Amino acid sequence: MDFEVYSPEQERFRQEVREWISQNLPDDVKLPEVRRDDTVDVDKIKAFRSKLADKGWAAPTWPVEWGGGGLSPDLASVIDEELDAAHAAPWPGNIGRTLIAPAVWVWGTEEQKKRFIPMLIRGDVLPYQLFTEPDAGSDLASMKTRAVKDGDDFVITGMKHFVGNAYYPEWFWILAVTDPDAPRHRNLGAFLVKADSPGVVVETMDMVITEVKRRVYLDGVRVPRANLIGGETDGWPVSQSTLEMEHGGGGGGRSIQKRVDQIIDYARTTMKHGKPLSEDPHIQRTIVDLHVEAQITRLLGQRNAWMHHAKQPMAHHGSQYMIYNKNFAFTVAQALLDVAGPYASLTDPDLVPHEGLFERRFREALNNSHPAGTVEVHKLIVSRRLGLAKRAEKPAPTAGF
Amino acid sequence: MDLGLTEAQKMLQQSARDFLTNKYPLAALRAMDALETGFTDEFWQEICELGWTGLALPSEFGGQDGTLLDLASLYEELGYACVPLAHFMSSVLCGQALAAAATDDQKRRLLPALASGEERWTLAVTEPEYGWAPNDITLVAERSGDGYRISGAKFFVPYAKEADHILVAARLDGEIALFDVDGRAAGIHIRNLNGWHSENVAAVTFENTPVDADGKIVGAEAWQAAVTSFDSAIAVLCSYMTGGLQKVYDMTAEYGRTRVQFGVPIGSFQRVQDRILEIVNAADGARWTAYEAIWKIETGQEDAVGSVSVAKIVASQGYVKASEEAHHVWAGYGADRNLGLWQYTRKARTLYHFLGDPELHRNRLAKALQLTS
Repeated sequence: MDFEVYSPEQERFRQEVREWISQNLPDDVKLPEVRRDDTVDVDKIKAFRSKLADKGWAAPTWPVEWGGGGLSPDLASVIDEELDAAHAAPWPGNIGRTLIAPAVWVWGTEEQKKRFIPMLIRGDVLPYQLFTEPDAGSDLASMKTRAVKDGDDFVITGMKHFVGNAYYPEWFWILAVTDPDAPRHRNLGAFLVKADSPGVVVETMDMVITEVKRRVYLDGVRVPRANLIGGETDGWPVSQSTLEMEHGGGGGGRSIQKRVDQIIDYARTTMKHGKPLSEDPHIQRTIVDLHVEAQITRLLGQRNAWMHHAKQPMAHHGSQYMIYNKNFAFTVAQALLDVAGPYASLTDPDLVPHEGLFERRFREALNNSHPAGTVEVHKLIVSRRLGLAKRAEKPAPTAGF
Repeated sequence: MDLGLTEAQKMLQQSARDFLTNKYPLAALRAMDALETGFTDEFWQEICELGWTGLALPSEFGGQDGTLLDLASLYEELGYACVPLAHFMSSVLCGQALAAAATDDQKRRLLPALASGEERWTLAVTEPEYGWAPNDITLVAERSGDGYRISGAKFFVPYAKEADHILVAARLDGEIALFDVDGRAAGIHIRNLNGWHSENVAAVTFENTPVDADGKIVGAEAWQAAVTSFDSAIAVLCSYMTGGLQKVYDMTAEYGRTRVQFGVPIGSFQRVQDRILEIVNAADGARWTAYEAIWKIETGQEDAVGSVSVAKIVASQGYVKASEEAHHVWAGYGADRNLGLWQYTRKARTLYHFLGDPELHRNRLAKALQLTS
């Protein structure tokens, strides 16, 4: 058993990555975490990501012949850490690699895989995932958006919301009803649709949260059959391959400790009555409890990453991690209320640490409760996969990269 | 990163599971539990013959050179079966302390019989004013002739009546030291404490009990090495508790799938599911915090101490919480002596404080995180 320690060889690779980033990451493609409400010129991010992809570092663990780097998960982590340390603006089309390509890999024809996988995993295009609708949130399968067959095309009409981000989309990964008379879960199709198709209108939602969310109207949007992934009514199982990854099946949790460390740092350096806040037993208790919760959350994410790459059979693991991850965001917000008091809510850089990052944590937690399913939905999935619920459920297949 | 056990570790687990399932199901353990000793000679002999008492001790002194993770993977299975912990006291707590902090002469003299199981050891740290912090240790040792004499009381000492050696923590010239006290030496009085606990804990009083000149195993100079060995033992105990949690989950999930009320299995009710989810979360949290602590100890990571405390907090709180949830699911059947859930619940409560309660480990963690000096 070996937890995360990089070998000297991997550390040498880190030097190579660091050097490459310092030579190739322009200043105007940098965006530190606290400024993630801002945007960067998307063409400039793309130009940087394209160079990164040419090195094989945009999709490090994917095979080289598909546009990846053929590297180990450890080296992929090194690349992620270095991009983060250099404040590289995150790629807003990341879901192309993490969520969409794994489903195309499982369900697409050879021709579709050749056409879509390289562009999705390299980050050549910026996709949105269009699943959620006003009356189809947790009950996703009750969606109403229609895809009507018309000759060799499908014509899609409907509305999706709580999707996307601050950058304008180029593609949509969309679920729509192909057979309204078929039973639930056998009535959907999954499509890759160009976002500049006639009939598409993208609006911005007004959210208190930090990330921009979009509302997308589709009015008679024509899609060629070649863009249908899987069979005409395979949309539900296809979407499960995406959701398997979105629901924590690929693991995560690397950034969790940082959130605790920032609070520890604040408590150590902020004085009250002539003593650091960290000397207060109640503050200590709050931080220690937060740290313990962080370790469990981080380790469950790390476990999942290992299981995914080592191709271990998974069951409740993805959703279990999601529950911890979503709850942890609120635990952080509560700890901030207790440790930093009203200062936690300020963004005035003269008065608060980390340029107002704490205030952002509150809104992050609110945002975190819904994407990829609520805590209640994940409890349901865990129960199904443990064979407790009425309907038993097995994990959906993914690419495994 | 590779978070898998080796094939050899998996085989060790499987053979332990097979042996314990056949030979020591919960009913057999209930029979042992009724004995004054808390376990049978046959049980002890079988464990010795399987080589478990010397598993992670140096082969130079009769052990098998196993790793801490080998030991932890075995203890997951022992915890799953819920067997008594007399061998943990002897070969893990005392064995690891001797291997880490005793002199070579002492190791040659004492370890082979400990590793073979021929002689049993237990550890006496806690006192009537119960606690595992250094300032909880007040029992005094005095020099006497070539050797020492100790007087005072140790409380909650597991399996003291069955021990050939009691490793006693005492103050010598104000500093903590560990003494090898003959379990049958003069002036020792042992009384098993009655109650709802699992490890035959005893009150042990010493009245001018003599200790040989070479009976001081760990002095101030080796104290840190002993503390580090106790951290290893705590991590292994967390794996034992993980095994117990896994069993509580397995039996409660199975009950939820098969117990029918209102015409459906009760596991199909979301309120029941919520309770079972708490149990699987407690088991997985304990498992991975324990594994990481073990890995940090074995690879000499600087922050191993903090991780050991995280693991003990998670295991202590999780085991108690999970058994409580299980009792809500099992309801009346959970309290039926013949169904055995209570054996895990009692274990969870007994081990909650053992080797440091969550409060002690929170304090240790606060120091490890440099929140306080």
